[in-house]
Amino acid sequence: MIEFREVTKQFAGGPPVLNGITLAVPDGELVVLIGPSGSGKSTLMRLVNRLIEPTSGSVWVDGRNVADVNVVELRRNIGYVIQSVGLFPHLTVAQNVELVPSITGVPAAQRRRRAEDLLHLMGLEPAAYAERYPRQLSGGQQQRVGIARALAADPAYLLMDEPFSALDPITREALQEQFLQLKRELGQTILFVTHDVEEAVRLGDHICLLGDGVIQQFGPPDELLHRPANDFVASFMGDSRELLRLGLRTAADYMRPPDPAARGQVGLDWPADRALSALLGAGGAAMQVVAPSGEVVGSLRLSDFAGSSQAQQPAGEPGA
Amino acid sequence: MSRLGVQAALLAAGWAAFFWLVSAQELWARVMGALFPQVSTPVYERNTLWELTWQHLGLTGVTMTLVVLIGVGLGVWTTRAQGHAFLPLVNNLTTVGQTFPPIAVLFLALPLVGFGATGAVAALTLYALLPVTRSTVLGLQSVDRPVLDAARGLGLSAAQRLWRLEVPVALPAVLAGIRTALVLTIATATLAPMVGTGGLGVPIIAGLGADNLALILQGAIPVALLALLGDLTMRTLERWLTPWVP
Repeated sequence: MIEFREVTKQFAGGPPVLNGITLAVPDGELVVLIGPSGSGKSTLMRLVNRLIEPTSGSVWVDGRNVADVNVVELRRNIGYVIQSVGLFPHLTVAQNVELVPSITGVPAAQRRRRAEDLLHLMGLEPAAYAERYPRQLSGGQQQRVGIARALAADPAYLLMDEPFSALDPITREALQEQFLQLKRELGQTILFVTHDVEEAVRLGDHICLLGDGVIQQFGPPDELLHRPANDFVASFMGDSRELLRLGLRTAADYMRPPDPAARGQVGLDWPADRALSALLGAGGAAMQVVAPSGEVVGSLRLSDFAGSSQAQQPAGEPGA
Repeated sequence: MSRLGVQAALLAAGWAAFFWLVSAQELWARVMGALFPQVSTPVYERNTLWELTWQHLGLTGVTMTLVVLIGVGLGVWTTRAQGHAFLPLVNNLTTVGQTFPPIAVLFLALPLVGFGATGAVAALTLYALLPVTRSTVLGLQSVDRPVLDAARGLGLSAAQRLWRLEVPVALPAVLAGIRTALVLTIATATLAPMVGTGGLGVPIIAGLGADNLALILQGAIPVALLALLGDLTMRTLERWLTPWVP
């Protein structure tokens, strides 16, 4: 668990960037720090691996105050991924991934195997990429290597500072998808900074919205979208926030019993926004909902999406 | 790889040809005698060309060792927190060292370090320091902030950041600076005889005094070849040591 206790950070001569932040990142969760520029989200994250020291308050990782932990030791146990990646230009892809293990004295064969596993996991075939230099990779490929590098020492924690923000939309979405899968497999506790609401909703187990140096709202994505705590949250999450909520659900959450008059098909496991888009495309007629087995399990019409906000909760988020 | 191999093989052949040429005293005497029938001494006679060449290589070698140690050392020190205040001073001093004509640096160094090889080496070192110090500073400053930030965030200590990141990234610039200094030193060392040492400058200066073009060429041709070979050697070394540079 990562815990912030009454953390305040004030840079010389300015107003406090962070003002008494108390926040807990539970084990195995991905918490997104989001907010407008200057809201201190990166600053808050960099307090965890002590790239910045708090003015007052304390940060705790694994039940230990980070101020009492050797800083190099601390950082080696916390993976770190940044927007500009920061690969070492003179090292090959494999050498970059092996960087931390090579410093901590992991045997060459062992760390090489680990690097190849991670590259494979990130969708970069070691045979093709291991011996390349960073400048020979695209931005998306570089960030894949950056994530593999952060995971090389198998840290329990991961700090990610806008890791996908510099990528084009298609690459970004592909990496988000892959990252979600990776997260389920590896189970790291992750603090993730972004300014992109869609990304936050997509990736976060919880979202922490920062503004004016304080936490404006902390909760599951659905809660920030549907029950914004104040005008600041409502305006930051955007006017189409109810549409974003659809992405958190599937067609199964909205469907009614099968309707013989329905034409066309949507998948039971489709995200609800995709199902809605299909319905709009079909001109508003009812459509069949089909399970992966091919069996028709229900039907869906446009009116099913209206007024459903109280009735249905997203799967796996009871009481959210 | 093969391109580097070919380059290295050509270089080895070049050096072999050079050493054969400076060992062929008889050949020089015959060729220069034929080219300049009017001069009485077509080759320098007090030392063989072989001896003069090795004196020159010795002067260059000692100077370059000092230049690299001091230049890189100053560059690293002035880019650390503890030496940062001295960066402008070091920049200015090395620039001044090179602004003076080399001959002036040689004579200015005389009263400080005396006549002879020590004086020559000191003056040559001072003169060649600028490119190495300057390129080391620029090379170290060229490390991208995000890469340094990532290195810090991944748990590299200051020493590990220096040796595993900053030095390798600065290496192409440092090597280029050393190459410049090397060529400069090979050329400038021809002035060393004026403060009482040997080297390939000896026949040149003797030839200038006696209006003997044969003697001048006997010094100038090997110096030019040496500068060329030194430059090519450094370029090959750069390619070999920094394979990541496009």
